[in-house]
Amino acid sequence: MRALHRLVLIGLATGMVGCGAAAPDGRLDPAAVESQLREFEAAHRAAIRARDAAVLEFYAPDLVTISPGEPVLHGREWIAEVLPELFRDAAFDEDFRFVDIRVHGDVVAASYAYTQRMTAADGGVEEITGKGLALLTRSPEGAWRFAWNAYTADPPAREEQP
Amino acid sequence: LTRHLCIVALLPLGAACAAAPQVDLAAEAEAIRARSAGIVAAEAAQDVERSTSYFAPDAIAQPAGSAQIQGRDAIRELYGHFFSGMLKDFAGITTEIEVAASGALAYEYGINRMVLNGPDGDLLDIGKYLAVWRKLDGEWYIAALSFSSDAPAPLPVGR
Repeated sequence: MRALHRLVLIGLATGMVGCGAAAPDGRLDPAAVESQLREFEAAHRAAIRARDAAVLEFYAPDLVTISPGEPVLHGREWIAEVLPELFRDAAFDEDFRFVDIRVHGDVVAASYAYTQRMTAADGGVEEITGKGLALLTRSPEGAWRFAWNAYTADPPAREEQP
Repeated sequence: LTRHLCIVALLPLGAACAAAPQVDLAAEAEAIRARSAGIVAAEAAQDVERSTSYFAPDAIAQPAGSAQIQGRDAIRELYGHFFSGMLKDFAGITTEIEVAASGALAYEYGINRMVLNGPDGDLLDIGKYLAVWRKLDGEWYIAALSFSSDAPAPLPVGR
């Protein structure tokens, strides 16, 4: 029941992100969209840290994912499949920040930088940084969602030589 | 009667004009498909300048295992690296193109197939890409590109 309550809250939060950005002529106001996408980042971060499966709502049902090491992924079911294992990892964290946001009519194209942390094979915490490219569209309720998403890791950081 | 016929004939035309979308999205998608085929041909020919010319001046590229690069000079350098003996064969196939209603932005994803020169023979690498296209002065250019392999490392051809 408590989990369901949280799901509803996240659903409402993401639903609100995206409303009120349209100018009277129907075009989106880039400043308003950027503000919504900053809220989107924060809400995504909060959902990850709350281990909330409602993080799925940040992704369109017909999501296209370009992920290293595997063929193109269609749909968001793969996220639902990996979430339980990620959420069991106490070290797991994921954060991203949009770097360049371009509003084109009803679509946003944005690049972003991300950081992901998880437990490594040796028991330590592994941190991966990378960059991504996303196309975001709005749900019927007006919430922004990842529609197409591509990401690649940066090269591993070199340790400083003494 | 003639006048009446003219008015009747004009009415459907006017209705069609009012209902027609401002941007012919299908035509724009075809234009991008042609541009995409053009850059694949340039890449297959390992032509650095022609390949680079398909990118917007401030385009970004996000290769796997490298930091993001920006601008035609950096992209030219990346192509120079790929085309300096590493790449043996290249093919790319568009899977899907979406054109935004504005007609100024489009996005495409597809499949790449590369044969690379390895130290012990040819290596096959199958991958995929996401390209964001932007229309500048009536022509489509790649504004952003991300690409990665489907495998952790290229595989020896034929195995």
